[in-house]
Amino acid sequence: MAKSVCQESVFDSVFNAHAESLVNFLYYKSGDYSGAEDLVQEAFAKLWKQCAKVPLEKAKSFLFTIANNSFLNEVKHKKVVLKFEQRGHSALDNVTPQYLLEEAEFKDRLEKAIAALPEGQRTVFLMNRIDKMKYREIAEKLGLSVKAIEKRIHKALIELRKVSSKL
Amino acid sequence: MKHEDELLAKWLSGEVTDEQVIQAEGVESLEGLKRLVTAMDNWSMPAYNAAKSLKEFKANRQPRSSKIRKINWRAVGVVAASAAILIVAWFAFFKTNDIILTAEHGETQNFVFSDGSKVWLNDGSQIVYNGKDWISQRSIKLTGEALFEVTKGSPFVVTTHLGSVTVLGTQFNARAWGDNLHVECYEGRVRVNIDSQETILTANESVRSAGGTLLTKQDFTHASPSWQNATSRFYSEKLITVCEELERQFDIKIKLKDADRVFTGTFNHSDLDAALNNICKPLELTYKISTDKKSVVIE
Repeated sequence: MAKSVCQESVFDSVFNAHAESLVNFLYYKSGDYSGAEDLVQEAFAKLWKQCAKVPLEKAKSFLFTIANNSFLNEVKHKKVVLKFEQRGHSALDNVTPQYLLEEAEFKDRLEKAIAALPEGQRTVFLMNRIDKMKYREIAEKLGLSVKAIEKRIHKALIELRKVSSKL
Repeated sequence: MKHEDELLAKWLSGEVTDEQVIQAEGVESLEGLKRLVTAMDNWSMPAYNAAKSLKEFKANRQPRSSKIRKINWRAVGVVAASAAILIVAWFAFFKTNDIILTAEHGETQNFVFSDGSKVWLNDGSQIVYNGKDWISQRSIKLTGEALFEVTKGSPFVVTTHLGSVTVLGTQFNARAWGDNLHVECYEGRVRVNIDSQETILTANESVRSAGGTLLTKQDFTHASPSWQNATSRFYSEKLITVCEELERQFDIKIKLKDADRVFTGTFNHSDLDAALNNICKPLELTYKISTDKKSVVIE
């Protein structure tokens, strides 16, 4: 029998392959991590329900389409707030308290600027920078062309560079 | 210069060099970009435990195996929530091995049997089958409508209150509502029986019954039942039958005057208003939906 998403082992592997990037995507979209987790459960529930109709190779874009069309943070004026963890520091020597302070301030301003980006630019930029996805992979997941992804990233960089310039 | 509005993205992915950026935007620009990229290089999201989430997911879903799971009791009159509910129960009335599968209003339900055969239940439909002896005796009692995909093996018999369908390795849709049996064969061969009447269908043939009589079989071209694409399709069916399907799909009550008018066409399951329009307009009827969206009057 051909591999079907209805088979538990196949479904499990789809979950393990994509749940994390799906949660992250929803977080980048909304700034609401627990809301994102709930939505991921819902998206997989929808996949399970439709498992007979979704071929294995379409499962990924099925999930991301659901996520992309979802609404978290529905209150319009509610600002998106994004915070990231940081492993280690950019400069390996010379990590003075002054340096750490500047680094933390820069991170804070950058996080705010990223959160202020239009959603389409923000999600794509973070998928590339944080999840380390190549443009082609992002394009596949979101059903866009690589060119469209590049345009969004270009615009995001132009905006975020303004933060770097204020020293 | 080409690619002006993708330049920085291409720089980020390494397709465009630092020098090209300096040429286009100046050294300070490049330095600003580098600073921001370097800062973000060691940013990360908190670790995600996929295994734990998957476990939670399964705990929240009704499983698909034929073993007995928890029984969901709902108060009488409570409208089904939008999640499909799989009810598995033992009834003393039937032999202890009978298992029941139900699709609630507005939902469809899928199931894979232990022999690899599959069933898709349209909403409001139910099957009862022999859980213990499945491989040697593949018999199902169907109420409503379901699509079956049957693997080769022992005879696979689906009985409805109107007639039965016997199969050997094939795919067919059986619809038994009211007094209209409608069977479509998508693949393989299927034998349809009503009392002593019998018809054999091969791929893309269908047969209907009316008032206990098996009618002449017909050909069709569509590749799968329309309800699988969230659409209901009708060929010269009485309006009352169409409205019954509407009631099931949208979980509403319809008050109808001309029950015997004949309708040919389709409606989609996503929008009640559009569905009613599709049905009423060709018949020059009007409809009114109540404010609570639970009842409709057609005249």
